Amino acid sequence: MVDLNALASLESGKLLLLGNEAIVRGALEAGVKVVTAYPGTPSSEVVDTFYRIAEKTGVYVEYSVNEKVALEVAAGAAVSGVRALCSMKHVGLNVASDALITLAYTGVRGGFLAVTADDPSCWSSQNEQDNRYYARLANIPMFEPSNSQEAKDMTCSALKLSEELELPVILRTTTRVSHTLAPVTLGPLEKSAVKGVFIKDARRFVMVPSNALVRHDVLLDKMKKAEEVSEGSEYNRVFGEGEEIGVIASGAAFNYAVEAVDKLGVKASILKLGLTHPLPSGKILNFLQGFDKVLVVEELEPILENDVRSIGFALEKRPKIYGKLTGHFPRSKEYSIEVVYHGVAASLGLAPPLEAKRQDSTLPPTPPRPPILCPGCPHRASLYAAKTTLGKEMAYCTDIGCYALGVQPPLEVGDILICMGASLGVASGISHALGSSTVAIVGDSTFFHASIPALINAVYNNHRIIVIVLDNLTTAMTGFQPHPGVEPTRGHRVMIEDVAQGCGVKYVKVLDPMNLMEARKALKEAALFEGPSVIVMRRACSVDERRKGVYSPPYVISKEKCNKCLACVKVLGCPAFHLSDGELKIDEVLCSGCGLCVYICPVKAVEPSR
Amino acid sequence: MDAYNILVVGVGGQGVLFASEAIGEAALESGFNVRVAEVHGMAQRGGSVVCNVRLGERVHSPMIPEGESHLIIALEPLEALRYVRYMNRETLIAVNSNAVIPPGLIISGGRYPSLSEIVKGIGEVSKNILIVDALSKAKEAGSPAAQNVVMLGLVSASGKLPISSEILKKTVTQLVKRKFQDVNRRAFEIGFKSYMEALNSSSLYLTGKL
Ligand code: SF4
Ligand code: SF4
Repeated sequence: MVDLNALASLESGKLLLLGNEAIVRGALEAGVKVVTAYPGTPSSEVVDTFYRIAEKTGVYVEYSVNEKVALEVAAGAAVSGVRALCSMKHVGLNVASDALITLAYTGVRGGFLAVTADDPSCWSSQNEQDNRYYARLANIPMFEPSNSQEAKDMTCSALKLSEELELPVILRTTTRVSHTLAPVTLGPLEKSAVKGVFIKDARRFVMVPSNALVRHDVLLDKMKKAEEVSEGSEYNRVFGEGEEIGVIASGAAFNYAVEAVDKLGVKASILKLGLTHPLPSGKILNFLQGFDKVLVVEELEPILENDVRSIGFALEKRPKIYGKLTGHFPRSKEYSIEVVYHGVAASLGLAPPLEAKRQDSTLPPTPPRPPILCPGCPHRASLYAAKTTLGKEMAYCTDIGCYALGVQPPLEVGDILICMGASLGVASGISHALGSSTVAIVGDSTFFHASIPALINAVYNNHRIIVIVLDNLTTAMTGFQPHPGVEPTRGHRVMIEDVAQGCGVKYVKVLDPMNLMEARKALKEAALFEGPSVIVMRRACSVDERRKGVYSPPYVISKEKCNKCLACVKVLGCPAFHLSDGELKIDEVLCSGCGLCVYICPVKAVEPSR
Repeated sequence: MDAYNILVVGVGGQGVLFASEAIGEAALESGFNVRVAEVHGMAQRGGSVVCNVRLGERVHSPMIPEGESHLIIALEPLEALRYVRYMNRETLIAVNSNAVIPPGLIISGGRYPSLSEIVKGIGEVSKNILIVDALSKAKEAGSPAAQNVVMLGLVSASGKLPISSEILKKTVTQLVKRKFQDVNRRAFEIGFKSYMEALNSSSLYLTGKL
């Protein structure tokens, strides 16, 4: 909800920005001209914000089909001397890593920044991977901000460092940085080249073995320079002068460390690392010398801790290093002040930590409230049709998107979910192993992202998979971004059914899942089909429709006819239903008027309100 | 000043994010350093949503330690109960009395605790509870969607928030599209006025007279 005008054009002053919005601002201050992304929580606001100010700022913004393509498009601009940024969530970098690691060899000419947003505690992700490993794997610089101000400053510095060293650079955030609003002091906006030139240099850019071997050494040299930058960087500096304990921290963990030390009243010095790859070994060595005890505070993997240990090995008198390896910190889930407080206290032998201010009482149990499919969600109809036609025994391979919420009761459709686009491949394997049809459920955006190669594979190998593409005409889970299957603002729309046909699928049907009869008929045909089949269940996301101002009149329950069998709620789980004082009602604000429950009610008690 | 901690809780779609951002913006305008930790993605689909807001000079972490909220704004009663571990004796807890029953409960046949049970449970931790029917107040203002703003008006009237009511009201209005500004201003004012009423009715809850 940030004031986009201010974000795009103010040259001084202060704004309250999300870490993700601050990244946008930092990139603008560095004169970025090309921005690409595949959306994913917690990274989505980076590209969404850019998209909204694209016209005003003249930045080219693209929602790419997947992260690998996003990175490649941005890389193409950067090798032509145009400053570029691509953003994705942590697992997105797995998809893009193939391109990134070799791009480190060719290098770039204009600044190139890959933003990756990690998600400790899996707030909205399928794993907790630590992307700091990617900087080490690709051997390129990495910045790690701990608040919005740093997110802005570091984005700007990272793009400039990238251009200076001609190396791709990574900015790694975590959920608590991406999704925290904090004040940011703005700086001037730099002008940079909009049009690039591609100067041919095959030895540098064509990574055949003989050239790649040479470029590997070039990369290693560049990283030597980067190490000097890291040694001298203001982002790597010491806070406080306490002598009781030394603390080394980075990213969001730094914030917890400052507060924990403050709360405990411990005299500590904190070495904050912001440019975390390559590490400033000299600075770290220097820091270690002053202490008997050093605590390393970092979320997820003990990467810094291991590095600090090996750097400290050069010292004759080494401090004792505390961290995950000594059991003072956990290796999973995000940190909190409590966790860090306990770690500091325990390593100093202070007990008992943090007296609990909270009181216990005789509380009634708190029922859980998990996220669910929205009222009127078209996926509810599709999943219901699939389950009731193909049966409970069928293996349902699902994928990344809103429809993954279908695993919850009452629908409970979804037996395995691994990563973007995996449903088709996994279903192929299962159907091969079982010798019978298996269902692959995939969303529209996910279909374009990573399903097409698996579809081709299924055609060529004649895997008996029933592919149900839930096409709600948007990327709903991450915030309603466009994809190639929706009306474009430039270029041409790509129809999923055409792609399927083009891949050689012989059974392709397009239907509206609200037409249950038709959906059932198609599912039955597909189940008997020898080979892969594709059913595109197309109906707009109900929330997106409302966002666009499309409203359908809600349904009501006739008091006289309703016999309170609760079939509608128990079978569909639409959140628009309410049971209050023993009476079943449909919430007129929540009901989207989809009419699905009309099919379910055995006594026809659900009626249109007008 | 040490951090002043506000927890805003509710159900996805109730406007937890908006209320938190409004406080954050108003805090910035009042000259505080501020952190607002939001939840995005999954939590918006009818799930439990919580936002941490911290203001003051010494704020680094965006997350409020357990037991250290000064103020909790609960847009839904069950959600107030869920975050009891963030409360202490002094915490001011403002609760919208309108229950949003999780569909899972109807399916499983589970029971949603009654308002008086919830208030009793919370009341054992802190006696500073304000209960208001924010839905009917929001409807009175012109839109059921303005429950969150009613709650902001209410807590603002308590005088416990280190931000002036004028600044908060102004920010709330400025943050929404022009056509919603009047409704939101009214919702804030109605919420503000309902403070005394809430104080009286809440004490009835706490003494067990209801
Ligand atoms: S019509 Fe029925 S199923 Fe559809 S949103 Fe309304 S209550 Fe839910
Ligand atoms: S956002 Fe759209 S697609 Fe996602 S659960 Fe809600 S209605 Fe369904």
